[in-house]
Amino acid sequence: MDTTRREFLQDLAFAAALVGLPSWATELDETPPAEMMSFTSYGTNPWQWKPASAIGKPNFFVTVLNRLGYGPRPGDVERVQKIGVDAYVDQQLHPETIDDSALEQRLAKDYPTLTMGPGELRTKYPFPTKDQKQQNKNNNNNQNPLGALGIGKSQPGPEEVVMQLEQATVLRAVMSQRQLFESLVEFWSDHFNIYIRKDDNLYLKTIDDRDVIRKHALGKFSDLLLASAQSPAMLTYLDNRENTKGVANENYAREIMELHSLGVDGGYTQKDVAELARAFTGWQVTPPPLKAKQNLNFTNAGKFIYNARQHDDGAKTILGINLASGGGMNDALKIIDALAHHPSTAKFIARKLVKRYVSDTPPDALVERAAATFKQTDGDLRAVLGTILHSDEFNTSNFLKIKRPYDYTISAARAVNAQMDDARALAIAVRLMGQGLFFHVTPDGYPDLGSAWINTDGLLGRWNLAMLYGSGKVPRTQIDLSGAMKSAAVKTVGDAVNFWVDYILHREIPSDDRAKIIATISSGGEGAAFDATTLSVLVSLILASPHFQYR
Amino acid sequence: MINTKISRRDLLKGTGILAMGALPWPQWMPRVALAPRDAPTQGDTLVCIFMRGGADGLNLVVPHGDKDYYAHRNALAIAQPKSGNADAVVDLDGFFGLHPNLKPFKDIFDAHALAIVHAAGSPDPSHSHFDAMDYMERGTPGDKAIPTGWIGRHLQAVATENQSPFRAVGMGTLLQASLRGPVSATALQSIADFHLRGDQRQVGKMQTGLAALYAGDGFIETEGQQTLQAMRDLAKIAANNYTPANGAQYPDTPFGKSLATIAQLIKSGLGVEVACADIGGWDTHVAQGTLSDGQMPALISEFANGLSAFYADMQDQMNRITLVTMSEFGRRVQENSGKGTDHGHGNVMFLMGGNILGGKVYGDWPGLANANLYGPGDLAITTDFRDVLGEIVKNRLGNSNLAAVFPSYTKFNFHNITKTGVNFAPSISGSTPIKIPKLGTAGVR
Repeated sequence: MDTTRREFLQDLAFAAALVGLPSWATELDETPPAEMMSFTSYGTNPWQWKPASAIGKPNFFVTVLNRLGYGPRPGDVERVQKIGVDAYVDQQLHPETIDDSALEQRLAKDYPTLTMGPGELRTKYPFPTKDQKQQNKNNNNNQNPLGALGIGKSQPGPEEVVMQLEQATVLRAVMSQRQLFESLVEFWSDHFNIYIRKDDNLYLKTIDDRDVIRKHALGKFSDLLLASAQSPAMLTYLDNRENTKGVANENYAREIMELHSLGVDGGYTQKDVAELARAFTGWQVTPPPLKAKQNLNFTNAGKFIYNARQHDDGAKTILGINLASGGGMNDALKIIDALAHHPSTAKFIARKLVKRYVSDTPPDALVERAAATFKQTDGDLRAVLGTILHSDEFNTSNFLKIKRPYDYTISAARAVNAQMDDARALAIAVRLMGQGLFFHVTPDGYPDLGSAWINTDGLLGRWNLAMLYGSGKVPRTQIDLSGAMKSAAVKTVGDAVNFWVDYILHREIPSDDRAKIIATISSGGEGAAFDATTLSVLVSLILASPHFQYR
Repeated sequence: MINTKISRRDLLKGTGILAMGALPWPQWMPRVALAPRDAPTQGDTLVCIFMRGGADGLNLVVPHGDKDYYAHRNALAIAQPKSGNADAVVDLDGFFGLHPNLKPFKDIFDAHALAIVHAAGSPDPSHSHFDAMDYMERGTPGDKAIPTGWIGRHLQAVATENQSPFRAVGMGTLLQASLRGPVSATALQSIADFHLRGDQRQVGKMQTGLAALYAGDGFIETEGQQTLQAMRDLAKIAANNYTPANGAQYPDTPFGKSLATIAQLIKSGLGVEVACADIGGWDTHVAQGTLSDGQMPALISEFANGLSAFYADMQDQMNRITLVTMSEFGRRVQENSGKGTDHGHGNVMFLMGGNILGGKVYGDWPGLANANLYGPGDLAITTDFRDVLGEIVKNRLGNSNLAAVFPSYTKFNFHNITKTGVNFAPSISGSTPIKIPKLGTAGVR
C-alpha cells in the first residue's frame, strides 16, 4: 500500500488540524518523535481521581462494551442487552467462536506483511537506497514535518512494514467482533512492550505480534512468557541477543522478573538478576542482522537460536533454585517455568488485569480471587479473565476507568460508525496523541491510569480529534451523520440533542449538561427548529465532553 | 536498554546547529526584575531537568585524579587533562573535569553560576529504571505509599495566590511524576500548537460549549478548565516569533525545544514557578562511546548546548532561576564487554543559576577502588539527592516545610551550594544593556 502524494497531503492536513505541526520536526530518517524517545515515568500508585458529582446515571451495557473492547458501534448496546452481560462475556472469552471472516479477508488483502516471515519482510521491504531517500524527500516537498513521525515515506521500506502493523491493529480494534481479544492484544503488547523502532524490530515486531501476543493472548501464561523470551523482537529490544558468556547483559534478565512476571516487589535480588542474565547467555537471533543496510541473504535471518558456544555453562543459583553446571538451554527454561508459576506472578498479573478491566484502584479481594484462579488453572488466562469479568466488582465499576488516547480514538470512530478505506489517519492520530502503537520506548508499556493521560495537552488533542470526527475530516474515512439521523424524525434542537446523546453515549446526561449543549448550538432554545449546519458542532461537543472520556 | 545511537547522531547531524559559547554571569550586573506575574512567588523559578535512562556521571564529570577510574575504564576512558588536547578532560579543580563536549559549562562554572555535586543520588539500592525514577520523582526512596511527587508536595505546601495553569509546567505529553499532586500542572508540547483548530465559527462555539460542559467538580472537568485557561493565556503570546535573547541558539532537538519553550513561558510572565523537562537516551548498555563515536557524546553535546543556550537566553533573569539536573542512577564503574556500562548507583547533579554558589564540585568523593564501590561495583553515594533538592526548596524556593516535601527524611545535610534568603532587588530601568561576549563555537562533535 504505497502512499500517494495526495494521501500524504491529506494526512498532513489531518495531523495539522489535530495537534498542529510539530514545529521542531525535521526530516529525520528512522527517528521517532522526541516525546516518545524520552523516558517518561509514572508512579505505580494511582493518583486518586474522582468523577464529577453530577454525572448522571450510568448504562452498564456501555461500560461492558468499553471495558471488554473499544466501545459500542450502533446496535451493540442492544445486542448485549438482549443476550445479557454474562453471556456476552462468555462469547467474548471464546473469540474462535465469533465469525470475523470479513475483516480477515480485508486484512489479508490490504496488509500482506502480516503473514510474512522475517527474512521475507527484510527482502521485500528493504531500506531505501540513498537515491530513493532523496527521491522520497523530493516527493514530500522536502519539507515534511511528519518525517520525524515516520509518515510520508512513499518507498516500500521498513516504515511500510511498521505502518501496516499499526493500521491492521487499528482496523481490528475498530472493526473486529472479537473485541475482548483485541483489547487483550493491546494489554499484552503493553505488558511485553517492544519498541518497534529499535534496530531489527522494524521487521521483527510484526512477527512478535502474530506469533507471541496474538497466539497466546488468551492461552496459558507460561506459554506466553516462554514465547516472549524466545521472540527475536524481545531478544533485540532488551539486548539479550548481545548477552554473552563472560560479561553478561542484565537488561532482559531484570525486566522479565520486574515487569513480565514477579513484579518489582516479587521477591528477587540483584544477585538473581545477575545469575539469570548468565542463564540467558546464548539466547540469540540468527544472522545476519536485519538492520544491515546492504542487501544480504536474509533467508534464515531473524529467528530464535540457542548458541551453546556463547552460553555460560557454569553452576547458578536463581531464586533459590540450584542449576548444576552443564545445563545449557535448560538453565533459562527452568527459570522461566518457575517464574510463570511463582505466586508473586499470579498476583502481579491478576492485579494488572483487574486494573485494566475494573478500576485504576484494583480492589484487593478481586485481585486475590483472580490470583487464586491463576494458581488453580496453571495460569489459564481465559479462566482468570472469567473470574474478573463475572465479578461483583466488575458489575459495579461504572466511571472507574478513563479512556487512554487509543481507547478514545477508536471508541469515537466506532460511536459515529466510521467506515475507513484505510486506517492510516487514525494510526497517525494515536501517534500524535502520545500513545503510538509499539512506540513506547521503555519496557514498562504505556501507563494504564486515567490520571497519567488526562492533562491539558491530552485533552486538547481529544477535543481537536472530536472536531475532526464531527466535521467528517478524517482522511479516507466516511462518517455519515445526517444519514444516521434520517430515520429519527428530528425536528427541533431538543430532538437532535436527545438523538445524538443517545446515539453516542447511550444514556441520559444531567439536565444541566443537556441545556448547555442546547445553548451552544442554538440561541432559540430546545423548541427551535434544528439547523443542520450545527450538526458537526453538536456531535463534536458530545464526543469532546467529559461524559465520553470514561471507559 | 535502548540503543538510540543512530537516531541521536542523525538528529544532531541533521540540524547543523553550532553550539553557542557559554556566557559568564557578571557579578557586577544589576538585577533586573521580571515581567509582572499573575502573582509573585516567594522564590526562584525552579527548572528541573531529568536525564532519563541513568546517565554515566563518571564520564560527564570525570574524576581524572582518581587512578582507579582509569583502572576500570579502558575503551570508555576520557584522557587526563593536557593542554592542547581537545579530546581530554576539561579540568575543573585538579581532580574533577568535564567531558570535552561539556566544555560550554566551563565558563558558567568559572562565573560561579554552575555547581556540581558528585557521588550524589538516591540511597535506594534499586537498579530498576522505573523504580529508581519513581523513588526520585516521589522524593521518597524505598517508599511508594505516598502517591504525590516532591514538586507537587512543594507546590501544595506554599501559600500562593497564583492560580495560573502555568504555575507548574511539564514538557511532553505525559506529566512528570515529580509534578504529581493536588496542584494541577500543565503538560505542554509547544506553545504554538496549543489551541483548537478548524473553522473559526465552529471553534468559537466549541470553546463556549466546552467551557460550559467542563464546569463540573470532577478530575476530568478540572483538567478541562485548566486547558481552556491555558489556551486563552497562550493565545496572547506571539508564539512563532520567539527570538532567544543574546543570540542564544537552542539545539534543534526536542530537549532544546523544551528549554526554549520554558524560557518563553517564564519571560511571558505567566506565573511559572516550576518547569520540568526531560532528556532521554542515557541508557548506554552497549556502544556508549567516548568522544564522537557511540551513543553518549552527541547526547552530551545536546545537553550542554541546551543548558548553555538557556543560560544565555535567560541571562537577565538568572538571578530568579534555579536549575537542577538529576538522573535515576549512575552507571557501573567497570565498563562491560559491549563497550557500554550497566546500571549503577551514585551520579552527578548540576545546579545552575544566579543564586548558586558555583565554581565548585561539592560532595565527598568515596573513591573508585574496588573496596570502596557499592553493590555490584558502583560509585557509592555520599550525598543524598534530597540534601541537594531540600536545600533548593528551603533556600531558593522559600519553603522551609521540608517535612512536607520530603517526608520521613530528617537528616538533611546541606552543602551550602545556594545563597540563603530569597530577596529580589527592585527593577532597575534604563540600565546599560549588557554586552554578551560571544565565545568560540565549540561545535557539535
